Amino acid sequence: MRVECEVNGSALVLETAPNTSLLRALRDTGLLSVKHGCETGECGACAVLVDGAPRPTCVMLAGQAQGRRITTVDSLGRVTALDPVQQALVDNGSVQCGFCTPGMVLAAHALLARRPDPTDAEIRDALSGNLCRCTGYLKPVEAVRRAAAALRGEAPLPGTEPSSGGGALGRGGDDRGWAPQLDDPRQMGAPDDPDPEPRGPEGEGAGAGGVAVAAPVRPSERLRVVGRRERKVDAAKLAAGRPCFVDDIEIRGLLHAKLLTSPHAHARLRHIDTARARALPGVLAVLTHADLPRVAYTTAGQSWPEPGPHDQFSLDAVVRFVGDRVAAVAAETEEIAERALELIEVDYEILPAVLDPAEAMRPGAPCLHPEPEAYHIADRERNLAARIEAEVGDVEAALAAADLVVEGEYLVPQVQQTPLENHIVITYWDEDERLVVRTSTQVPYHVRRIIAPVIGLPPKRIRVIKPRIGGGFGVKQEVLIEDICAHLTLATNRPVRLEYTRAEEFRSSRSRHPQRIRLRTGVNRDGTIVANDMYVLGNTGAYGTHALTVQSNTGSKTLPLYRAPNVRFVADVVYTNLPPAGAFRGYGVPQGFFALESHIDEVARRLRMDPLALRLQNCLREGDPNILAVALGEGKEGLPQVVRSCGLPACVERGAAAIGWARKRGRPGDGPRRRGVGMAIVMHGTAIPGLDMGAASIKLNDDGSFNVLVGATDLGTGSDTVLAQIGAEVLGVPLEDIIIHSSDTDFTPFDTGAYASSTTYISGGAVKLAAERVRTQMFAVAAGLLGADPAQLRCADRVIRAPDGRGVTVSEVALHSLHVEDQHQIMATASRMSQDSPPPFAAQFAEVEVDTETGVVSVLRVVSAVDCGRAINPASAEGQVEGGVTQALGYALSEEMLYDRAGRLLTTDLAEYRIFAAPDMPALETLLIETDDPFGPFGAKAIAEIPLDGVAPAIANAVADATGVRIGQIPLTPPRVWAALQGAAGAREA
Amino acid sequence: MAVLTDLTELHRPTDLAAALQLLGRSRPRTVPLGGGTLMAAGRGPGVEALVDLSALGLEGVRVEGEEVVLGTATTLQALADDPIARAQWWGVLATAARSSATRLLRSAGTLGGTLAAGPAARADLAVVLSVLEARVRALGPDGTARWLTMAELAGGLPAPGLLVEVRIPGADRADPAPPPGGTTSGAAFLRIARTRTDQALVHAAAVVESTPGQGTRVRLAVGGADWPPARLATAEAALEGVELTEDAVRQATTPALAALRPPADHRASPPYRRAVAAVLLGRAARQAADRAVAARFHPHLGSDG
Ligand SMILES: Cc1cc2nc3c(=O)[nH]c(=O)nc-3n(C[C@H](O)[C@H](O)[C@H](O)COP(=O)(O)OP(=O)(O)OC[C@H]3O[C@@H](n4cnc5c(N)ncnc54)[C@H](O)[C@@H]3O)c2cc1C
Ligand code: FES
Ligand code: FES
Repeated sequence: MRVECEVNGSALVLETAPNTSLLRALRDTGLLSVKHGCETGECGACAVLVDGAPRPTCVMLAGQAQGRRITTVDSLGRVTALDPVQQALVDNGSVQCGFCTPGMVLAAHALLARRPDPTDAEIRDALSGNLCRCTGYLKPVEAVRRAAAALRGEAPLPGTEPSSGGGALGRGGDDRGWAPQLDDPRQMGAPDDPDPEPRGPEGEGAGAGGVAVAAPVRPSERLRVVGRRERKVDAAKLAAGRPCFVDDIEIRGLLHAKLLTSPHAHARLRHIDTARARALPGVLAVLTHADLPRVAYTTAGQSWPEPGPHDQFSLDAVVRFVGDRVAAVAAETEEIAERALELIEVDYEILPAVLDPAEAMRPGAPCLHPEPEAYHIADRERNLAARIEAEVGDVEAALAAADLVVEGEYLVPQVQQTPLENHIVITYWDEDERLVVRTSTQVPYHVRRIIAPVIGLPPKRIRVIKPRIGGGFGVKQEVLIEDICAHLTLATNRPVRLEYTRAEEFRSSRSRHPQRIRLRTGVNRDGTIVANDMYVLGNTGAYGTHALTVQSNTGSKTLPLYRAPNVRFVADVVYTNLPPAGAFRGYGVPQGFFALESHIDEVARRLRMDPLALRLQNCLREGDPNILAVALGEGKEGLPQVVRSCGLPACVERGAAAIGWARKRGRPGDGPRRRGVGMAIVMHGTAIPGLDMGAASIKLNDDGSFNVLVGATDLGTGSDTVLAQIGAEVLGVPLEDIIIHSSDTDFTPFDTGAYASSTTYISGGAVKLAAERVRTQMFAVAAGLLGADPAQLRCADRVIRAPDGRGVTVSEVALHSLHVEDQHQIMATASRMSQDSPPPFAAQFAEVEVDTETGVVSVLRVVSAVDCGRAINPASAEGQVEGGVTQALGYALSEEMLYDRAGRLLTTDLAEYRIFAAPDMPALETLLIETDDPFGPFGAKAIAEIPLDGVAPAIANAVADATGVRIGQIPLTPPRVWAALQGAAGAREA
Repeated sequence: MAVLTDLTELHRPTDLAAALQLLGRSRPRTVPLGGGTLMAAGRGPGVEALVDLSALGLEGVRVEGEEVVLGTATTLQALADDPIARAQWWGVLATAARSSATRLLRSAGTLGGTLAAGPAARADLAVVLSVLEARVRALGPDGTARWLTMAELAGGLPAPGLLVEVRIPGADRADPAPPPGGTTSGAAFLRIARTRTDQALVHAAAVVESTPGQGTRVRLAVGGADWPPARLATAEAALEGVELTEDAVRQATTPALAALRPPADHRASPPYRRAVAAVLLGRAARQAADRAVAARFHPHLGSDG
């Protein structure tokens, strides 16, 4: 049908089928700023203005737009000239992955058109349909308030202004023309910095290309770019809705893939008949297990050799969970592909299924992985994907001798990462018949290596491109659908696109391991913890991806926080017929800390001690060893670790003051609504020591700008910005002179990828080292031009100066080295690996109100005091904390994957699976307690994962403070809290 | 995901007669389309043609005599923002509209779609309309009109036809000052959920009419996710003239709730829903009673503005 409407001020005719959504129709006309995040109107990624009102276009038919006025962000600002709302979002760090941003910009515009001076509650309501999984909404709400002021023509509100123009084109700064100057550089005037400080130490490591360990920085170093709230280098294009995600390209002849998945939790495919599906016009390929070689692999995107079970096949004759792959189709359109799925006839032999991990370990339980090709399985007879055991000291003896032994059991749910952008991949042959895999991944290099044997191509014939990513949070540390899309391109010789729907994402991707955790703690009357014993029963679902390493982190990142000399950690990670768990930001640690930090509060209660004092008495300090580091590496023996920087006491002190601990603790009040405060202390790691490696290469251009190529994978975290800041700092140029690119396996050097909180530390270390090498080369040229000693030069504000004040610009050095004398490209590459994984620390506090009659827990306030070493960019560090806390709020209160008895997922959309929206948020406060880590670049440690670790236990502890009832299971949904309170009341009466 | 896979036609008639004529066809199978927020999210097997109701002039809220009239094409957001919806019955209509789904969905979803979709709409409005004794006008294909109560609508009529308007009795007149000693009323709506924007696990609404010297009459309704709204007539009768303390209401509603069959699903158990329903009803009745008394002295308090 023909739909005539006005789009962004111009008449537009959409030729569509009657059942085409407006989202699809707009994207098909090239309006790629309108994003797809779900199919139920719940996420807001697809929002546009229809006659001025913001609406989700995924649940609107194109035909409904007949005669209407449609506005998308494309009509608002350009990258170089953003409109005030876009600019405000960019300025204060509201744009993380940016996938939600165009929708938010429009929702904000609609609000400001009606209410030029909105309250915060009105802003939150206006954004209630725009889910954001990255920011925690604090900065977006503030940005809308600031944009409102700007639109009213008021002076900018005080607040977090970015430090500089920041970034390349259009980010406020430097768009001046450039022409090479022929002046004699040696005639430069006096230095504009009258007080030059000595440069930071060089930290030169091994020779070019080798792996080096950077030397510690000195705290006296004076920084110009690092440590500032620079705008994110990619924020403007994201706010402007420029096409930069996987799906934002047009390819001729693109086929659409769909997967047929199992309706049964466990079944053997007796027979599959694909004849009718193949016969459907427009179907190009139908693949089943019979069409593919049987190669066992793991989807865990980890370094080679991946330590966990290799128990998956692209397609298999057995399906092991509802949602497991049965067959794949490629067709001319999505509709044809879907119809083809319906025509595939499958004869399932239903096998007994097991959903409970304890049952799965019992003799006689159905065995999930008897197949001989699978390997690295701990004990397939008992369905054990992995088994972990580590003990330091003598736990049983210490428990026997302790004054008091406190036992507890804790249950944590299966939850999903839920990035706004679902998994999506496009594969095609390039002109050399090399396979290009354009994919939304955290691990481009692992993708290339892992799919190579699976699809039967050598890595040299595969190129993986990671464009902008709409969030990952671990679910894209999984080589989830690249293989099957590639198989389809191989089968059809056509470009193929495969995108999960939100429901498929819920049913068939990955999640956080649910666990049952038992803890025994031995403690003396004076509060000294003498022993900790943790047993974890983890449920990995049908496949063991990340099973070993996630569960080992549950112990290794939590138990060492307390200085008990006797520590034991045992974990069984069990196969069941449920969708697999995998990597999720936090990686086993939020599970462990929910248990441990709930438990420590119970210990304090039994000792009648202030839980905060008990923690401070026992927690790790600077100079202490991590006592489990050697026994529990990631899947193998680890390296010894000593804590070199620890801001934990300051975190506790500042956080307690901010929440009002002394005033509020133990004062629940009376009536049905009770208040409480609770806290938790947590630690994490920074990269996997001795394993994670990142590399960077940098080259100098004529105008004094630099291309920085990194394999590090910015998935919305801001790592491109942080890495560019590190480069700019070392090279003595503003951030806008750095053109950073990540990642493309053909052009950018290797990096393990975005996980294990490693990017700033490892990849940042690599950028720093490469920049130092480039600087050395620049100084060699400059020294010749200035007749000075290269060791005496320094570079700042694009000028390389001798001690006497004479200088040459970086551009002059570039022109000279490229065109004039001893011509060469100034460029360098460096790698960074670390034997050390300096732990970041945090103290997190929550204040809650519990409605004891309904079980509703309202979180009023969360304070996170985080020691992340030095924050390279405080705005993005805060953003990481705010977003992480928000994900943890869902973990604590509302998120949970639930199944029926046949193993069918019940929570398949964003209404049932509830992540926090803007109006749901408590007040958030982030305190960055900076320490100077001797190993991190400019003293940085990680911040990406730690904010997730302590929120749930802090809330459970606050609920216990308010009600006197310990609830050892999350999420604290109203029915669960109500039942616990009823149970406790019943017990009191009995 | 392809939606409405059998759809071949989409119409947007500009008068009711044309709409009814289209909807009266047996082939292709034709159904109404409100905002599309539920319709366009589903596969809608068998739906072959849609009639978009947005050009029939069915939107808007007005007072007619002692009734408030809501057009079914009114969007939930328009209802939330509407001055009449905010002024009448202490604004419970606007409050319930505002707590429904998200701003984006409310800008698209209509009252008619919410009513017709039943439990799928997860609608807070349903429980409020039920306690306000709203009636819904439904037109059959031949133009014959029927008036449906919320209970009849919730009962799942095989073919409710086209819902065109909702009428609520007992509107305040323009001069809101009650005669001395006259009857004043209060209303309240409460809901609980996992998070503020989440669908209601349980919601409850109460209307209280209070006449000095004669005590109070209360109307109560309760519902929630997958639990269509129900009036609690026996509890209402038991509470007539009784002072509406939370405890009194809880005691009166508990047996009435025991007779209801709230769903047992992954969200909550029936005992939980019943217990919390009693709590919310107690609170809502108390709040409504307080408001009814307050209205005696401050008639302007009757809105949420
Ligand atoms: C994910 C999600 C969460 C939601 N959560 C909540 C919530 O928490 N609380 C709440 O109150 N609401 C909630 N809603 C419901 C929201 O109010 C919907 O927008 C609304 O119910 C559907 O309205 P619509 O006009 O878009 O209906 P449509 O999708 O257009 O139609 C829905 C059904 O109604 C029929 N229909 C539409 N109009 C008429 C009419 N005039 N006469 C007869 N039949 C008609 C259609 O044929 C169709 O069968 C939610 C909706 C969604 C999608
Ligand atoms: S709301 Fe439309 S894509 Fe999610
Ligand atoms: S920035 Fe909002 S979803 Fe990523």
